[in-house]
Amino acid sequence: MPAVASVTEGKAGGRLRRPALRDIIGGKRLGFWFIVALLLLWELSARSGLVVSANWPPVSLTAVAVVHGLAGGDLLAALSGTLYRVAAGYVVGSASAVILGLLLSTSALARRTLEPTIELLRPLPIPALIPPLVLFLGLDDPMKITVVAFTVFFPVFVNTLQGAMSIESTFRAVAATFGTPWFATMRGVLLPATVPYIFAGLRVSIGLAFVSAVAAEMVAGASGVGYYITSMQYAGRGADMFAAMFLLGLSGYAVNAGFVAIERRLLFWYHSAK
Amino acid sequence: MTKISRRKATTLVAGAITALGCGLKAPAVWGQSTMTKLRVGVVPVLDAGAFFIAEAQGHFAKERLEIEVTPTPGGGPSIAALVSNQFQISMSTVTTMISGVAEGIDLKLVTGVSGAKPYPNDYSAIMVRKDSGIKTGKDCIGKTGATHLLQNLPWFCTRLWIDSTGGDSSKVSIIEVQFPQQQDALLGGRIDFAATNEPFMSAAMQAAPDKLEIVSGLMGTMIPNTIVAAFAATQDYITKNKSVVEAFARAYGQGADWAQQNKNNPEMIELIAKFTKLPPERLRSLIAWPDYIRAIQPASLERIAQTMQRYGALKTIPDTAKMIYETART
Repeated sequence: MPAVASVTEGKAGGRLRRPALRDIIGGKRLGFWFIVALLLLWELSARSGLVVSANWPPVSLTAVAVVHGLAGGDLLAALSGTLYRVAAGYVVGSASAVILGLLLSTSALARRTLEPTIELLRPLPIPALIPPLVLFLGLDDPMKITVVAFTVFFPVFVNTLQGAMSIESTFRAVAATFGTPWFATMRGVLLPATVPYIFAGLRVSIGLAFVSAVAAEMVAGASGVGYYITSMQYAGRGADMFAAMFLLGLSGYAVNAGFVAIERRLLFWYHSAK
Repeated sequence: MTKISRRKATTLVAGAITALGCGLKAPAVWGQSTMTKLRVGVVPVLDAGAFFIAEAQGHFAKERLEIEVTPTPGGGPSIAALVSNQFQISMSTVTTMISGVAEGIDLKLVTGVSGAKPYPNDYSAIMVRKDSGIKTGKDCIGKTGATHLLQNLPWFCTRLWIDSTGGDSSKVSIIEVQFPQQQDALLGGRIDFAATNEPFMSAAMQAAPDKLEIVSGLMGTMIPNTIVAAFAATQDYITKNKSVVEAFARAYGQGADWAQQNKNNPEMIELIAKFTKLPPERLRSLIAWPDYIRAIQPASLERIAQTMQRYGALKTIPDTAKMIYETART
């Protein structure tokens, strides 16, 4: 048996076969190979002269810039600043969205009062809000964290409210029949039934949190990946600019993967029921 | 021995008390020499070179000013930061400041920052793709051009250039393309001409000399020897901190005088490269430098305001002479 040919046992009964191409690049590996192909295309387009621009450096130079940026500490400092703002804004925005979403689900009066305001604010583009936010909150972390929290709030709020409103009225009626206190109803009935919806909103918000943090950093301040990208772009250092974007993308991917793992563990009952 | 010891002890105690007394008084003395903290918004571009020189050469420190530099893109966020006292002093283009004053914000220009000379020493230019056929504003009709921002000095000057060279700027599409992307947009055929400036202008000309060309100077050519950017503070801050503003202007002025005399000096290139992150070789090959100025000419400000009004950015022209604080007059 050739060493390169791994042995797999077919369902038909012990038949040996060589690994097919789809075994090597198929399944979960397909995404990886797709990224490799894109990076190769990027490298070739920059090296062959197909695309000539300071804003399109070869990916190999970007890799070198990642190493230099991390070794010099600048890039790591920028990334850690951004991650801090993302985390702080994410926690504030999502926590307030969950609380408000649950509260509004229990009160028609509160819904009628607050929903129009929330729906008016929801479509506002966050970059347009930054100048007035600067006026009230300044240029530092409070403004940037608020920007992230504002962005995160809406997807989580909408999902929470929708989830809480979709609970069968029987559940609420049973809790009321047994005289379950309001807080216990919230904790024991409303929240568990809404958690899958909340998680859906939280997951969507991860990417938005990164985008809004970087957008805020691009407008003001001297730290974070947003500022780093802008300053490198204006300095004509395309490789350094892409290095920051690459690390940001990697961070977003890692955070999302961690979130999915936590979600699967916490919501095992929900996923197994599907 | 005992007597001597007592005397010594008395002397020591007296000395200690005196020293303690001096020590107790010390904070007041220290208070006089305490550094004044200033948060200053700076657009980290070539125009701000003199500020970085003044900072690096210690002129602010000599004036007992501790500067916290906050990079800013200028424009609206800078003015908002001034009004909310996040910045005590901020750099921006003068068009933004004139607009702010016209809107009722009580801003004063405390020192000039940069100015532009006429072509061929203009550090801003109209750059075209050679095959676009554009030589004058007349050729721009039906074409698409780009400026870094709309309703800013390069945009006004681009319209002036079109209108003063046989064209009609109201019939030309001018879109917003940021400086770093203008070269790609030109070469890719997405725009036909661009209002560029240094260091992007020289980088583009070196990268594609066979495809791009400069057909005119821009800011310093259309409004000769114009001021471009300045440092401003609110009148309220100036009233309460007159001596601080004067100290800032004095320190900046020394940096500006040195920078104006030492363009292309290796020390200057090194310092500007450090603050702007520009590669030094890019600075060494600039076609033109901005003028580093401290004084603001009222006539220059007035001409800009008139141009802004001509192109609909101002309904009425504010009293531009009043915008210039006494520190920026000399």
